[in-house]
Amino acid sequence: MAVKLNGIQFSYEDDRRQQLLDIGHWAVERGERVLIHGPSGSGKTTLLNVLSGLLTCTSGEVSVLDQRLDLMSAKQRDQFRADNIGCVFQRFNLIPYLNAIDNIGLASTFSAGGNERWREEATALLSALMVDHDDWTKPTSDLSMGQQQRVAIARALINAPALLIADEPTSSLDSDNRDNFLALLMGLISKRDMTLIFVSHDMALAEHFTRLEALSDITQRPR
Amino acid sequence: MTLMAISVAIFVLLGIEQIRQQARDSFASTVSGVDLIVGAKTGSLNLLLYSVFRIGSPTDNISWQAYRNIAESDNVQWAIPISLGDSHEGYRVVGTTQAFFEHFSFGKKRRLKFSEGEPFEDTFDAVLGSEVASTLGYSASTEIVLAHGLASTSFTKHDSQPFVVVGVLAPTGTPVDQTIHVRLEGIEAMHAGASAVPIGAFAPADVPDTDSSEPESITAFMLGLKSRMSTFNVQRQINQFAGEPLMAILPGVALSELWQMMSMFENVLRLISALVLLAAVLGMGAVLLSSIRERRQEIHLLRMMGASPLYLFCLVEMEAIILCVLGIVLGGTSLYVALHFIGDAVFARFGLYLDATLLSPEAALMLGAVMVSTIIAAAAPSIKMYTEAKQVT
Repeated sequence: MAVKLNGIQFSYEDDRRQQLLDIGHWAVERGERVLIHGPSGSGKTTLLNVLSGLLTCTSGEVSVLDQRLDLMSAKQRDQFRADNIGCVFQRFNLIPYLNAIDNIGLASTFSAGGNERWREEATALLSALMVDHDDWTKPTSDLSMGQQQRVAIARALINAPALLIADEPTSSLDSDNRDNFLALLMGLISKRDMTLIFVSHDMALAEHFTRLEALSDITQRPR
Repeated sequence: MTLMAISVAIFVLLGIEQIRQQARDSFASTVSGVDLIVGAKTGSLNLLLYSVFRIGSPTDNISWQAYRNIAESDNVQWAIPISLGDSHEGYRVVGTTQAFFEHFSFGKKRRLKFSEGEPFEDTFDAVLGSEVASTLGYSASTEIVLAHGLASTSFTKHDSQPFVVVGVLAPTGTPVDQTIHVRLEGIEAMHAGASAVPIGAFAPADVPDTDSSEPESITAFMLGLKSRMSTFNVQRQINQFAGEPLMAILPGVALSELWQMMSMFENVLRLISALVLLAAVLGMGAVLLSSIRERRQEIHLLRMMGASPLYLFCLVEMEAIILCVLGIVLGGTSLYVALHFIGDAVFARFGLYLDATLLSPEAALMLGAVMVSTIIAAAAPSIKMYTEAKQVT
């Protein structure tokens, strides 16, 4: 089971009355490609942050890749995230003044196992993602949005995570770039047998995914 | 900009330390071979400054008789009489005897050496310190005219009595380098007036003309004693000398009095440079602090990649430390270059030898303090980074 949430409740410390998440039960199987659609601000970021271990819930069980995040310390969760979960966001996926290789290298430094061969894997990924060789050594701020988002995928995958979490990664792209991005992403996901949880307001993407869910259905799921 | 500020602060801090240390070493080295300095009763610092460093003027002279008396006493191994008060092109002229070349030592028991020529013999012979010779372009057999009084544009020049350079001393790193040395008789001859006759004016009437007429008075004299143990005794004897108000000082003691006087000034200087550093370091802290807010997205990215809040804390501290190290390198290098270039000029003018070697225990300690203060100043932004990192969602 890739993800299993049981009896999750979450609210921010300074506003305990507003229950942002109230999930009786939610699960995702390994290998699923889930598209969660919904408008911004409705708790999607909160949900993703709980899944990635950045946030802890006030109550409930959070199980990711068969590990109980709610039983881990902050440091353990950080390490778990570095080793097992890749994240791609809408913007600011990369350190702008570093080049693509260095960005990927930076991500690889956080993995516990260490990886001497990261450079080879990085170049393989960049090639697979159709990022031109000349663009690998430019500061990523010099790259186009489409290129940056593709480099971001490489950055997210360098530590060979089993789960990829994507938070509106195509929302800043034009349609051509978006389609290109999704094609490349899905190719890599299936090749590596990964699980994908993808949040977007754009329902037109649904054809690429195995499951489509409304955010509101998940976040306010009573027991 | 922050880097510049820190570099400047380091430059000032190290520069002051350097000058302070070098001044002390330089002064100490000048008097290291002398056991006692004797002159007319005046402040001991005053005596030290005018007799050895040619700074200031003597208040009174001492008689030749008194000098002979003391120089010939049992405890004294050697004596060097000196007569001050004349100048040439801004460099002081000092009258002395052969004893100067034979007995004067400085630094670590170093002797005077000649880079050319030899010690004076005749009344109108002159031996130049290395700086005088190189700055004015004089060498052996150059003729020079010496004037009475200290200003280089003196109006009482004695044009008809030129001196001849017979020797140039090798550099010593002491005021000897800025001095023109002549015989005591030479000084007397200058005062004698336009007459070309070098002797006789001050000798007792019925003594025949000889090259070695005795001067009536001298400014001061230096003593080397046979045994260091007798120093205080001899000093006391001189201070109580009947017939003339004399005083004897131990150069080392007088120097430490000088440093004590200077210490308040030095401490003010150090305080100022510490404040300069404080300003620079606080500036750095402020810059870092304001940058944290700008870096929200970077923080989020790093957190998602697995960085812990502690990691981010250390990141900011490291940025501060790197700034500090760069500032030290930049400031230190600038100081080194500056000393290299102005060192010669300072030496020529003040007789203060400024070494460009910067690493002393005090300097190292100071840099350690700089590093520590940087780390502390960076604590505020680092902690802010930590709390931001914990909260970012």
